[in-house]
Amino acid sequence: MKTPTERSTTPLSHDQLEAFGAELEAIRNRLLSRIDESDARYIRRVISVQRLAELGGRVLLFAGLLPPAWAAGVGLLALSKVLENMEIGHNVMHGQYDWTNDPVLDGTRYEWDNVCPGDQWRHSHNYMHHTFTNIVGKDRDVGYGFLRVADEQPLNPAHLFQPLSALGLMLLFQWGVALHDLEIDRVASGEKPVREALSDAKPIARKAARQVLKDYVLFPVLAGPMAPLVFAGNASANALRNVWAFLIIFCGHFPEGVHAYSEDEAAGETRAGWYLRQIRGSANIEGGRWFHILSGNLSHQIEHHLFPDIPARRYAEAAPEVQAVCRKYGVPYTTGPLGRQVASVARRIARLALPTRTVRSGVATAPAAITRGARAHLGHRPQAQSIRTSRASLADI
Amino acid sequence: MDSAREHHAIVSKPSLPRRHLLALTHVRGPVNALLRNKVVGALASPRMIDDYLGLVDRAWSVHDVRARIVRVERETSDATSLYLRPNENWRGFRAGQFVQISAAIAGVRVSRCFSISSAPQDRGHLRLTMKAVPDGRMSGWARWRARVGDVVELSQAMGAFVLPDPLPRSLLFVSGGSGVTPILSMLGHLAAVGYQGAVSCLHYARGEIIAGEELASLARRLHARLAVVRTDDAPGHGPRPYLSSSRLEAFEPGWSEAEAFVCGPRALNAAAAAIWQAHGIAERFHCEHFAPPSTAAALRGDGAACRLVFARSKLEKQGEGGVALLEQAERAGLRPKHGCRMGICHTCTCRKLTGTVRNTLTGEISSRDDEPIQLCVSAPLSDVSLDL
Repeated sequence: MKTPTERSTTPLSHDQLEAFGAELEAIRNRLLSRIDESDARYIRRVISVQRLAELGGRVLLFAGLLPPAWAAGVGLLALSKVLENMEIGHNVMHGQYDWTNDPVLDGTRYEWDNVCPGDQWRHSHNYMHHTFTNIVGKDRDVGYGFLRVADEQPLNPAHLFQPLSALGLMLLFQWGVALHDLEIDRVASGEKPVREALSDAKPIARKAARQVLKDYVLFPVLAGPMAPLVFAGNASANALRNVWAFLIIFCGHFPEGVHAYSEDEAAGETRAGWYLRQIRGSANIEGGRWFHILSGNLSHQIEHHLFPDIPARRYAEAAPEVQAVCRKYGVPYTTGPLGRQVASVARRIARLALPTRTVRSGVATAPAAITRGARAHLGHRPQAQSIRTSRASLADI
Repeated sequence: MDSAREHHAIVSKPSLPRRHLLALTHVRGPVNALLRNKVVGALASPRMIDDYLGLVDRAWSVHDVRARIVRVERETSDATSLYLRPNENWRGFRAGQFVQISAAIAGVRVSRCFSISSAPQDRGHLRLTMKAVPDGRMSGWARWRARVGDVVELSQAMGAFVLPDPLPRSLLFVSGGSGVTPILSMLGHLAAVGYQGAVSCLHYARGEIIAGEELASLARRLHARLAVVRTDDAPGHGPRPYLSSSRLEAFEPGWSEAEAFVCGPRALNAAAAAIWQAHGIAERFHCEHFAPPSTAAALRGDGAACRLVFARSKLEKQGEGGVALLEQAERAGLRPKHGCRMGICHTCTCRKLTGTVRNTLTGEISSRDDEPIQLCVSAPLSDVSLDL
């Protein structure tokens, strides 16, 4: 039995792939035509809630001598940071609300409440990660430069400790994201000149200094005798946000069943090929309305990767259509509840800490995620027949 | 003029929603000074303190001019006045100046410039009078959707179309249609300061007269000569030279001695400018242009030549229809920020100042001024000017 990770070649013929791409393009156009005032109202409402939560959290932390006030303060501040980073910052910076013409929602200038500078994020995330999604060696989100999350990544001795280093990254995720673009691993290996890294580090240092000043100096000082409580509260809120963001993002790309690509595989790809790679390279997380909002709708990672510049609250309505297209063409659509996906990511990180037998030989790990496209056509044959998908579904049995 | 009066329907009385105690309305000045402090800025970082003040009162800002609508009045069947109470950051204006007003209309922020039609002496509010134009988003919004209590954003007052200081001995005002608005402000100012010189007003109007009643009453207070010329008797004849030196002579024999203020449609302004030029008294001529909403430039197909203006680089190039603007900008020697070159990452998003472009991915047409576009997937359909 093969894990879905090891399916490497695209199963669709050229014509099938183009037809598949055209169907996704049609979904995109339908979504675009539905964007209206309600989307602007929605994001402005989220922004108001976020700011109220932030103010409430900071005020409660000042009353932190009462343990319930402290805990509520941490909760509200963490909620604010989660909303700001995920549903507001991440989505606004994708240009999802550029059409509102509002400087507050201007994706090219938005700065988020995170030590990673907005401009750097726009480069490493909007451009690198979304263009070269899951291409080992090009998308630096594949392992953040030090984790091995795909069989295709060469193993090194440090990977043996990666279950621990992944936990560290989880707790300090915003710092991992901020240092991401420095490419410390490539500086260490001599591929990237130190001078270039230093000039990249300047804006990070400036942004980080402002963030640290606010959360760890000014607000504690303002609290006077409560300073240690406010300091600890802010650190806890940042850590909670880090853990949450890490889980959502790792579950979006690294559960078993999600495919990693080599540069050769993705070479010369058309827009339809790019669409296919976005689906195969991403995974959704199932949950309720609030779960989707708190994840910045990245619980619809697949739809987000297909339509990164469409207001994220629209992904839920696109998901059934995308799934139907995937079923029709026998393309696996990976999804599952949070607990299962987290366990799957954890298993994958643990599995890849050790040498995997040659990539093609297969590892006896059951795919944790349900790949819907594959499962679906156990019942009925897909219209678009391909050797590839039938083989994949057999492998899944 | 009486007919205009009949349309004076006060939509909403000048009453405001209750203010929150936290809004600190009476001590805003010193509080704002405190909030402009660097430490406060650092506490709010990466947001601005304004973003939080807005939670208490949307008109509260320590940096921007924001104004609350205190009254909406439908002047005629197609003209609407908004009465605005600006916040503490408003530095006032001189009669005849204009402001840019920005409002979120159907979720999209729209900005337009309008002359202020009230006098600087009208304490507590300023008035913008907008004539509805076809497809005019702001004027349509002001008429049908603006509500008392809504907050809009304003620029500071701008423009050099103002009365000289000290005031001259005689003044002549020539206006056409909604061009009367800055003139109303000037007349209101003159009445308020008890101007003793000679005033003449020549107003051209088609259909209902905007603020006709007010114009007449100001003219009475200033003992001014007022003539309202109807131009609706020649429909469909396009711009015609309805102003000439002989007409001026007949209306006000002393016209060439007066300091003249002209504001009207393009044709009227041009005719007036020519007259004053011809008489060699251009220094006494002051004119305000209000551009009609940009009429879509002639659309061209793929491959057709068009003009590309890169405004920030002060560069003008021959462009090609159907070819992505990113590519054309690069051909012109510019190096715009960009990433994926396939419409995904929005790194190349840039403001299109004027012109029409088509999104090659979606087929969507962007023809309004000042809209953000993705350069890598936008191809020009007309002459285009970019903020690049």
